[in-house]
Amino acid sequence: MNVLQMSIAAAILILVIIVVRQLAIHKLPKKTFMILWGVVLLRLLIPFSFNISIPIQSNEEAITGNTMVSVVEMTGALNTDEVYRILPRTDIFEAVNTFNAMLPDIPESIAPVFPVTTIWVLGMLAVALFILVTHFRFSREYKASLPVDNFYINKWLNEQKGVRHIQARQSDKITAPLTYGILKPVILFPKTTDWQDIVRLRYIFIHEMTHIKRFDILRKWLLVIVLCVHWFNPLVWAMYILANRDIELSCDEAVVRAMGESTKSSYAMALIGLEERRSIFAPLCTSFSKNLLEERIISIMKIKKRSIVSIALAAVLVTVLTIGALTVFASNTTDDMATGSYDEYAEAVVPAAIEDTNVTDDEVPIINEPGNWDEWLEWFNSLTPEQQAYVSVRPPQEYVEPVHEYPINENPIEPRNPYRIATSIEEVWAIIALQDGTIPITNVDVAEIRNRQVDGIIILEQCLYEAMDVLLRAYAQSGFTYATRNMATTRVDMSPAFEEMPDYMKVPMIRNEFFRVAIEMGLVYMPPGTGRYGTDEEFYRTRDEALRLLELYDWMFPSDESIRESAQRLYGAQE
Amino acid sequence: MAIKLFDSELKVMEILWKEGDTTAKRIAEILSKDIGWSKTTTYTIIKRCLEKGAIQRRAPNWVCHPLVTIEEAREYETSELINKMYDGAADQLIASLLGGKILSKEEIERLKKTVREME
Repeated sequence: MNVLQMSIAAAILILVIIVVRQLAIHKLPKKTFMILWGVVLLRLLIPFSFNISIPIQSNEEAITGNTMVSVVEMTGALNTDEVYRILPRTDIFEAVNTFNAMLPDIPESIAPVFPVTTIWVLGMLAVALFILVTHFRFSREYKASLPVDNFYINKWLNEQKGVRHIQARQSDKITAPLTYGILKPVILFPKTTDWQDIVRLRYIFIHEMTHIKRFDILRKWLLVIVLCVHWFNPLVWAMYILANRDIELSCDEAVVRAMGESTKSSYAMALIGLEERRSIFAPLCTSFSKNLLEERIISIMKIKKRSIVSIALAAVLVTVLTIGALTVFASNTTDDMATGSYDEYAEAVVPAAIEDTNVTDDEVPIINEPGNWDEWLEWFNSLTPEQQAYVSVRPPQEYVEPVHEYPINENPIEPRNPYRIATSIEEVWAIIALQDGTIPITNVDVAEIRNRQVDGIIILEQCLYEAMDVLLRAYAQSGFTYATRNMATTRVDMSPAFEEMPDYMKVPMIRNEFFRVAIEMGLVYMPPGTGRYGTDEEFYRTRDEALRLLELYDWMFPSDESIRESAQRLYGAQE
Repeated sequence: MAIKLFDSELKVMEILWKEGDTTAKRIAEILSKDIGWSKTTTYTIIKRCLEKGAIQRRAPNWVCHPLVTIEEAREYETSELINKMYDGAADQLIASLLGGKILSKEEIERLKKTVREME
């Protein structure tokens, strides 16, 4: 997800909260809005979407149902950017590096929105600069304040427990009391404070103490950070203003609750008194703050005992909107192909291609668990190329290897097991991601996996085996007919759908194809015909077998001498 | 000389009035001890006093020298108070001081004496 998507997703949430706030601000506990704004902040700052896909599948598929989620997690980490970053680090993929060099113009094609990014960054810097300059200008004034020596305030401060040392100071440059500092909080009183009015002084003190105890300044900083990042979003500005107001309202509520409801009218009067003073000295800034004060006064006067209904309402609201923020709003934004996960990406590609070729879902038969691979191939070949591109692949459980002639080499080479090949691609993916730490491993003992190293590569078998089916399907859908039909000959056949793809989509495709070749070169091995891993001894290809695969590779990429060399070096060293 | 000095600036001036010419470093030390200002804060305020012409820096050691006397500052603050609260009528201020019983009998006597002398 990029910032724009995060922003749009959060904008919907903000709109909902604004409506709720308008309707029920005086009916709900103010804390509700604190939590809701908190959810929005998370949404705006953390670039993850939690995709909860509930697979609706037939019985057979239900077995792999739980793997849907894990695959999304797995592939989510492997968007194209990630792959670029990871690859060059691993020595064993020197060959991959060389292959990278064969793919020109990758950064441009992946980030076609360069000027927009520049504008965004510049805007962010401008807003941040403005806020910081303003902040430091004010805080310089605050720092030049004088200590307060008031009997009651000293007494109240001494009564405070807590780690932080809190000071009370006064300044002739402010007209309303305020608090600053997170680690060393200071309550700043205007010089014009009526030091004899103990009741009002007490209200001010408790109000500011509440701010300090709740770390409201930290909240305000968070809001500022979000505003900087999402400066282009007017709804974020609205949130900034409203959330700051709600911090005050929530604080007022806490004060009234702490001091007892009977105090609310005198507390409200105290606020009005402060406003009078303010308006004498700064008549220009009252028009806006008057509305604010009105809102605060009404809100204070409407504070009632917490009713079960209002708490329940608030709880429901928070739950619904939180879940909504994490799932619905998130999934609204996942149709970006360049940055989305492989699965999403495959799904997103398909419908567009289907429209082009006038193939509807109904026309594409889906078979699950074909009993016989030959039958399946026959069926598959009977489809039109367009249909073939979108076939959901369920390889047979009992696979009988067909006998194939290797087209060039006279030496009979072991026929390729499509199941094995496809699995291995996933395997390399996962190996890379695992080494990079981008895959969360579930149900797998990491230590055990780490112990099983092949040429320095860590094999993540369980995870992969589970993920296999879903990914295979994604492959077939995204235009790799070889993943189904042509894999027996190890030829790379691009479907028409693939040819029509924009370049930036082809890149990850080609990359995966290369991984497949890497496996063919013997980096990872899986016993043929089983679709499962064998014993540890079987894990290692023999040198002969690897060299034979190199010949095959030569045939596929005749010009690429360097890959061949590095692969040979690899196997030479192993011996 | 009418220079509006804020509380923070008056705090710096107070030291100069009390201690005479003082180096900025010394002022910072005193204010850090008395009211917990950081060195930066003190220097900022001294700079403002310099800009307003309330302080001048002189050799040797670039000590700070007050250009505004304590009387001038008091006069300014008083006239400000009279203008703001008593519509510019000084007698009302006196009346308010007398009525508010802020002044002791001795102080009132001394005031009367001063007034008589000035007539």
